[in-house]
Amino acid sequence: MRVITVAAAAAGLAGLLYGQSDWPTFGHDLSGTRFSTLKQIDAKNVTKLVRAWTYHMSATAQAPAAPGSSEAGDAVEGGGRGRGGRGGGRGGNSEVSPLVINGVMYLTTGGGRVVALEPETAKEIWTFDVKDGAPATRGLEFWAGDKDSPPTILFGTSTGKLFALNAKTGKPIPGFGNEGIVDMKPGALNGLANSSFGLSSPPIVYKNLVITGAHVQEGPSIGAAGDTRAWDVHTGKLVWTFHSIPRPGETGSDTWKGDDWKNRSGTNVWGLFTIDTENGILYMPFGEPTTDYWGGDRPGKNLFGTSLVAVDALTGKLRWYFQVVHHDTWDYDLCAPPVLFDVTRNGKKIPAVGELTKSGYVYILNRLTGEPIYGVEERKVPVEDALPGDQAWPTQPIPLKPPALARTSFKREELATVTPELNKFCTELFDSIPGGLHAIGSFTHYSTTPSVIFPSSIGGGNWNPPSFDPKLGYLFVNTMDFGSLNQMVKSADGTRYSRAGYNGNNRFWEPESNMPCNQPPWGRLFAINVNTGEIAWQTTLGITDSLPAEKQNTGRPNIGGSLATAGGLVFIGATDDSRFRAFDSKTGKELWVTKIDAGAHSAPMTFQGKDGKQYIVVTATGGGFLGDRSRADSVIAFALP
Amino acid sequence: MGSRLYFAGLLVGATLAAGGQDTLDLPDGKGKEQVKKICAGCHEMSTVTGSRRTKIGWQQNVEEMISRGAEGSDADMEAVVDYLTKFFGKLNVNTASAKELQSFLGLSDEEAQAIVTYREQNGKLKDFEQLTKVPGTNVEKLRAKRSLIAFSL
Repeated sequence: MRVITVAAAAAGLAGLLYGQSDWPTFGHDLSGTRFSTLKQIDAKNVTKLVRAWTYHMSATAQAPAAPGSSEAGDAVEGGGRGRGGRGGGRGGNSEVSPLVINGVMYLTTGGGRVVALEPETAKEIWTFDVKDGAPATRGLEFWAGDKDSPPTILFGTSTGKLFALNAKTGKPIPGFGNEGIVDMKPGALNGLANSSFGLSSPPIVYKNLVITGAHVQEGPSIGAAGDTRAWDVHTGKLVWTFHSIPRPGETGSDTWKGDDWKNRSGTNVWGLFTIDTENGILYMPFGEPTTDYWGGDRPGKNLFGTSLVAVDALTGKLRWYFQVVHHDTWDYDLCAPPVLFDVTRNGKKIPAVGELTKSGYVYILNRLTGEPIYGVEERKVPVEDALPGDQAWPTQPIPLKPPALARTSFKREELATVTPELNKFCTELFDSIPGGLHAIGSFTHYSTTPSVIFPSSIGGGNWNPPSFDPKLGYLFVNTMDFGSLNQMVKSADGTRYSRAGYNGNNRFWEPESNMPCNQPPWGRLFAINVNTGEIAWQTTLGITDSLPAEKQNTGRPNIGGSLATAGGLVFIGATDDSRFRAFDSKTGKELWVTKIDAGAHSAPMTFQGKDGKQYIVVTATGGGFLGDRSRADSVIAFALP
Repeated sequence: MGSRLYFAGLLVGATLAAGGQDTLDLPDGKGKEQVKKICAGCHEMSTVTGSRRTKIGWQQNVEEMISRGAEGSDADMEAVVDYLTKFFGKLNVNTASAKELQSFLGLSDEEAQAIVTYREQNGKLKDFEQLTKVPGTNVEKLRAKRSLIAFSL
């Protein structure tokens, strides 16, 4: 118990229920710190790490999958995982962070199954085949159970089902919903039977509630609601609904005109929740309303689009909100877990929340009030380039500290000179229209002229779960300096605009080498000192293998998150260079790097096994939205020999 | 479409598919109905048609979408991949046959064969610069089709 007390005091966390050798929920704790007090692996011995095991998610007892490699893409065409992995298992890609509780590892797989493993060996204890859609790619939640219910595994599917499985047996819990399944679609579809609704991230459990977000469409405007809902963890009965788009009379409804709110889709938590257990507050990072790049049919600030919203976790009642992008037309969805920590400033302790954004910032707010701790300024942004009929919002809230953590604008003189060939391609691309591509500073609009937008529609940051070292007071976040390349075109019926690529490309890069057209860095890892709001250190994250050695250190586009440990380490994959790394949490020095089966667009976790060993685990399947051509189906564990 | 002007020198002659594709604007062909049904419910078609991919690239993309909720039979999904490859495809010049090089990139028999022969003698082509140096190819023709050319999956 002593260890728990120390950890709780250090991190300012209440409600840690499990030993520090476990990893009981997505973010390690409900505060989302992704910090483990384990320190067997430390800065001195991290270079000795070896692979302890590899679990192939698509493997079955009958037909083990071939070891993952960059050539595993071949499996897509031939046998093995089959086309789309179907049969072998829907999807294939995975962004999962496994959980470990009381000596058992649980995860959703890209192979369409949910599995329980011996965490020291990856031997299967039970497997559950999800026949209805794919289990959420980012994983599942664990509930300890009580006198009425057994320990329970909870997860959503791509088709809008919420499953409750007995953690011991892997069998559906009969008393939950209909034989262990709640159909989340009714009540979310706005009467539109064919609209899409699912979960891609794990739900979160608080007391007797299991709380779910929504994975809904990006367009057209009308579709399923992105509401957050809470269900009774015993029965699956709906307990409360938070309208992500306020109805008439609700706070924020005045940010919509007329009936524009009606049946509007988007505005959803497709990323990760966190909970302040001490104060009973749920933190919800909301995405933007539909459609993503054209707001002509939704004038106004459009709450709670692209907003961080705090509600009473037991009732869903609004506590506060903070909108990060007004009238978002950049697809700058909030999606990263809002990390909870304490800020010590002028000798005072302030309960805080830090939110990494696609727009390239970290907002550090008082988590009880929503007030910025280091100041936020409403800055004028361009409106003159907004699409005809779209009323661009004239200001956006920019944090005074920390500074932008990703490139937020672009000028012609910043074209990449990394190689003569890249420079030639990018220069020709930029100059391919008279006056050059459209780019007029931060919050440049997607225009009818081909436009370069920094950060891109996939960040900046993305759903990247940060990690937090309570002793150092450092928040570790990864971002990319990466741009979108698009032009907006009028729909055939002339009523709206939609986003198209330009020249067979929709990223500001050379699409065969995956080298961005802006000067490096292309991806970075930062430590933010939350007690000052300053950047404590930053480093490039990832290398470009195709460049000569002295030029490789460019940083790489990355999506995924980190893990911090009391061993003084930050572990992270995320990049598209198929590598897994450890950094010194104090200095940012890269201490260890290892080539892995594919890009790890996921967030690593750690636990201590029954054998006394500390394991570091990361999922690596490549693919994803970075154009990563690597492919595998691996969950990989590392340990000291 | 005014934007067509902008493509001068970069993309010529290919299926000009860069426009904002409403489902109404999608070129007719086998698989169009499946694309409309399966893809257009969740995002604008221009999200799909804005970038080009090889067949394997489209297969992987469809896999991603299945894990994110796209629903359809295996046959439907195959039709989607085939449609997107046909109209919004890219050709991997390291694996394509001479016949594919001819039909997809509009190369002559000799030009296509030159690439295949070069590949057999020198191994995989690394990038576009190397491709333009293959003896017997028409550099201008290739440059015009650059956005249709891939060097890996």
